Amino acid sequence: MSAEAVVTSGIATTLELSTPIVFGGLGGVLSERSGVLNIALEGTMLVGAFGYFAGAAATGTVIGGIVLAVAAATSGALVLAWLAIHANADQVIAGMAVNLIASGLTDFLYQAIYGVSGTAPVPGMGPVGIPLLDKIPVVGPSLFDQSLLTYLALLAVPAVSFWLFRTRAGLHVLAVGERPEAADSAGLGVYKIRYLSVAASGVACGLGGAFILTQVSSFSSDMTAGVGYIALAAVIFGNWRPRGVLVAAVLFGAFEALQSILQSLGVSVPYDLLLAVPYLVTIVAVSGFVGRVRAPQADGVPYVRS
Amino acid sequence: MRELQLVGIDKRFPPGVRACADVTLTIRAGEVLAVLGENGAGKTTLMRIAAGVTRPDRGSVVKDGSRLALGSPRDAISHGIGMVHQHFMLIPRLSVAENVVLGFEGGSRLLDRSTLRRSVESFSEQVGLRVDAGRLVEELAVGEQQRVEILRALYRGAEVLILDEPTAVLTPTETDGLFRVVREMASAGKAIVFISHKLHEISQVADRVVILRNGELVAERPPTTPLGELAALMVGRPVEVPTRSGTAASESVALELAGACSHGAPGLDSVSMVVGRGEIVGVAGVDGNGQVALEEVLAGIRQLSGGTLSLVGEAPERTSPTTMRRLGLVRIPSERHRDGIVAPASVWENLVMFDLHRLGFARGGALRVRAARRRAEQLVEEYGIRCGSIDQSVGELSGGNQQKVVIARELAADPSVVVAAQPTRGLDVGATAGVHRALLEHRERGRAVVLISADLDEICQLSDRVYVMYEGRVSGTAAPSERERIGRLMAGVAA
Amino acid sequence: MSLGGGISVPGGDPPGEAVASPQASVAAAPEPARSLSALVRAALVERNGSRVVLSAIAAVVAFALGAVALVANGISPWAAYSALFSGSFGSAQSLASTAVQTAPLLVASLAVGISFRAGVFNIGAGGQLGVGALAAGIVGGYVHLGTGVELLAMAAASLVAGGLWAAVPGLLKAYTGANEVITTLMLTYVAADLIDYAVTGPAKASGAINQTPQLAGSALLPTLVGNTQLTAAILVGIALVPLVWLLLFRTTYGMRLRMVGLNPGTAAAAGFSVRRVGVSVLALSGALAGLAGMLEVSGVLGSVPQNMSLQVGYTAIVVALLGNNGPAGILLASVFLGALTAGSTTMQSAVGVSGPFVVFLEGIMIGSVVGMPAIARGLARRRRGEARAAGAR
Repeated sequence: MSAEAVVTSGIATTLELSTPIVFGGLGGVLSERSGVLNIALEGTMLVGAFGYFAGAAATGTVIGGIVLAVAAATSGALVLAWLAIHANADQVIAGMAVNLIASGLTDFLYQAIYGVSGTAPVPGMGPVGIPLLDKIPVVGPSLFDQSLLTYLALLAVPAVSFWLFRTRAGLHVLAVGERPEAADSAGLGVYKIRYLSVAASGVACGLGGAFILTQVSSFSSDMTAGVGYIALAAVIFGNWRPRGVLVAAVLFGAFEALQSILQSLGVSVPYDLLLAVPYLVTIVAVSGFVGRVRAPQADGVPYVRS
Repeated sequence: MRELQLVGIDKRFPPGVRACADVTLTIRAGEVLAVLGENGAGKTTLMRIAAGVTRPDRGSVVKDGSRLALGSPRDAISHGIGMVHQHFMLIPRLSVAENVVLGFEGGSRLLDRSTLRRSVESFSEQVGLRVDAGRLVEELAVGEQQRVEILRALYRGAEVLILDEPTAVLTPTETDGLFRVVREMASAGKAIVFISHKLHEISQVADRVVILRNGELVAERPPTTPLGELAALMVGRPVEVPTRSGTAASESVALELAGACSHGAPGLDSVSMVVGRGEIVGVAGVDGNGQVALEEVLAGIRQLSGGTLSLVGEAPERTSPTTMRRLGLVRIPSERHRDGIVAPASVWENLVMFDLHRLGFARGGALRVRAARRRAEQLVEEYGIRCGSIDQSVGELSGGNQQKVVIARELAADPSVVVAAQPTRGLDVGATAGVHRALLEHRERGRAVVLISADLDEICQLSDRVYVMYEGRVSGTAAPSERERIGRLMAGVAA
Repeated sequence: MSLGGGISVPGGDPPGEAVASPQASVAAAPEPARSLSALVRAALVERNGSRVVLSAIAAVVAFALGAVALVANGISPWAAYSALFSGSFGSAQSLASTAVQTAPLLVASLAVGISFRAGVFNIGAGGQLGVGALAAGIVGGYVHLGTGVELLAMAAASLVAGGLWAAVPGLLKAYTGANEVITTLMLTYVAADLIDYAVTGPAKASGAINQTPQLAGSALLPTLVGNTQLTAAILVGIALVPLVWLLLFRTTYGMRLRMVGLNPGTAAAAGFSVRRVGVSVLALSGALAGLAGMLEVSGVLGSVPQNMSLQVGYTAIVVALLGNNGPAGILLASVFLGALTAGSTTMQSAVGVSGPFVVFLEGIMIGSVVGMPAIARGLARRRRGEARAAGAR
């Protein structure tokens, strides 16, 4: 491979690997900024991936897949929301419950509906070049020849950031996630805002799950394979900010891309150990060794009105 | 608005505590009404009802003759009633402007920070409460945060402004500033409710004083009423209690603090006191004047930053709960649920957990359960703890019995010094008498008791001598019979 | 749970819900027998009933929802559940396979239960189990010692590896305030990557397959019943139940651990070091989880494979919750979930659904344990409201 080809494919792979992390991470930011700790990103994305598969298989269209992915993942997120908001359940346990249900149910339904042999691949989403821009050397084929969902993820980052920090609704979410009792005394509907935020997190996870499926066009058990936890790591490492999530996601994605490139070039690297880097970086981040990340004050704390 | 009336307000909290008992009260525009009472007298609950935070069991809130339906704080705000809570309802990581407008942003869905900031700043100048609207609340000093709270209430159109213990967190200068603001708002036609338990503030700021005690409105007085009389109305409750017999035999010193200082808000500021064997030394004071620091220093939780502490002749270099207990000092903590009991654990575990090694219940690493349970049975018997069995969880017992568990555990070791901090807070009359009896018996056995209490009656009934704390210092000493003097010292008035 | 370092104990907080000592349940026994509905009410609405009842209701809910899912896919729940039962308890062979599944799960659940008792949220038992398994697999595969000694060396290696792995989040929590939920969770994935690295690289056995060397006779736990997979692993697990009980309820360390979990404030006032308990309990919990990994390698797998499943770590959380973090409850719950896992293979051949269905049931169960009391309280409130409205009329 030429050096140019290596760089091109490196950037392209990085973006591809970052996309689901960005979606999941944005979902995590939305949920946790409203005060609902979201360990369930993994399960919600898995439900999204299965939803895409089922929707695309049933309708034979990409749109059908995406619609069902978003709907399914949102329902999954609402289970978490109900447990966390109304049942005052411990949110770690609630997230675990959702992850287990998602893992078991998707795989069970897949077996039950499509049989062990599975089914024909469903329509996926290949790269779509942006006219003219994709002709730029190096940058063109890497940045501007991606899946539509990747473009959407990249656009969603400033959009969520703007919504959260520059709109009235965003201010309300932040208030609820920092001090629900203060938000309540200002007349904000704490429960409603939390439900909507977690539902929005479900939408993002649905898109992330859909993306994972569109890359391979068929479902397999636990196919999210920890991307949801990496997304959780990106939320923390990104300090609960959309732009931070993007930086973390690209960083984590780049690490993974680097492995596969080095491998394809025949360079021997401890591939598996490098895979662990995002997790280790997150541990360092929560331990406060490099700058302090700060969770929303009421993250994970159920609000009980007195 | 001319007046806001609270009519026949009644409120109970689950374990049978009556926070408000048929309280009727009128708040008038253009005046500052002080609501005075001890901790737990029901002041805050009453005003939270007026502000729509808490719903009353009975009674109503009436504004200019029409009854208000207050389902939430927002309802109260829409009727012009705003409250500044003791724990501020501000969001530290948002800016001042965002906090002020939160929930009342007006039309636009978008937030334009600079416009927002300008409009809040111009409003703040208009009402005479200057703030830097662009800063984050967490960067502000407490006094400034309070200004933001008041500003927010006014921004929301408050005509009645309730301030809950507003000076508790302020420095003297900030307090003066607050009083000026309060007076100005009153003369601008607002109705101000000023909740306080600090007597001396009343004359400076109030037009009228009502006194609450045990949930009842016991009196209304002009602010010129002598402080001693207000103090008596506030704390005096008719309880027959065991009394002291004989004079203290304080020949030898059990505990001594010399020039003790500690950090905290408030901490201790050069506190010196001597506690002899066979006496109960009362430490009187309104809450929040350094009693917690004193309690924690004595218990070995907080370290001294200056001065010395000596206990039966020893002056430990670094203290810890363990060293203090070994030296014979035990504590009945003021925060029973946080520091005194493990509510979900059993009675027997609570009775023995502090002294496993000293009592010989630890052999190697093993716990001698049978011996420990026998001990617990004895204590239950001896101290009359009412429980189904020693396996019942302490959380299921009544408050009085929970306190008996603490007292049994602490006194049974026959310690040379007992630090009893607010030992009867939240207890009924019978349980209170039981606690008092236990402390007096301890004194008869020639042991020392440090009684830290905000309850003046308790102090006067039990103590041989009284120290009064004010703003982290000992503001004076008194004999237990000098009630008036103690009241003045508690209020920080030169005696 | 807040990321600032605050912790909450699942099932430990509300007074009366946690059975603080085994004596408590004994003392409560002579109470007059209550009706079933009263028991259900106590467990759900008043939150002072027995956890066994709550867990049983959760299991019923899970099976009911499972039946709905089965019917929706045209599978007879009867056929599925009877296959599940016969595959777990139906024959000596299936009983043996239940025991096989139970052993590592039981030990891992005891590990999780101990940490929950101390108010420490170790949700990374899977990772600790993994490094324990890896350590045992390497010692068993490369260091050859005599019979007996070999197994002891493997056990020691797994205990140390799991203990150290979990001590890291313990120390981070104690000295930097890093929340253990995040750190133990992240370390689980690090462990998975570490295993894959080891079995494809430095610890890889000769041959084509990526795994540690097949364990030889002296490194395998002895088989108890011929022609079955049943090994001494289950005996280790069962022996640990009373040991953990003794540790929790008959040692001063156990008392410190439990009191710190229930109320750190009072525990500190009693002179217990909350920090030291936190670190040591994570190390202890990790060591036990590591041992579970050794049992899995030496009793079931025979070597450490690539992509080793660490799912047991999550199932252990389910078991600990169902068993209310007590050794006896955990024993019961782990047999229950072990049976489900064992029976799922029979279910697979009978109706074509297997393991994932059991994971689904597990998820519903813990969701129910934490969610049902809220539903029941809501219903009770509504009924009270209606009664009051009826009374007013």
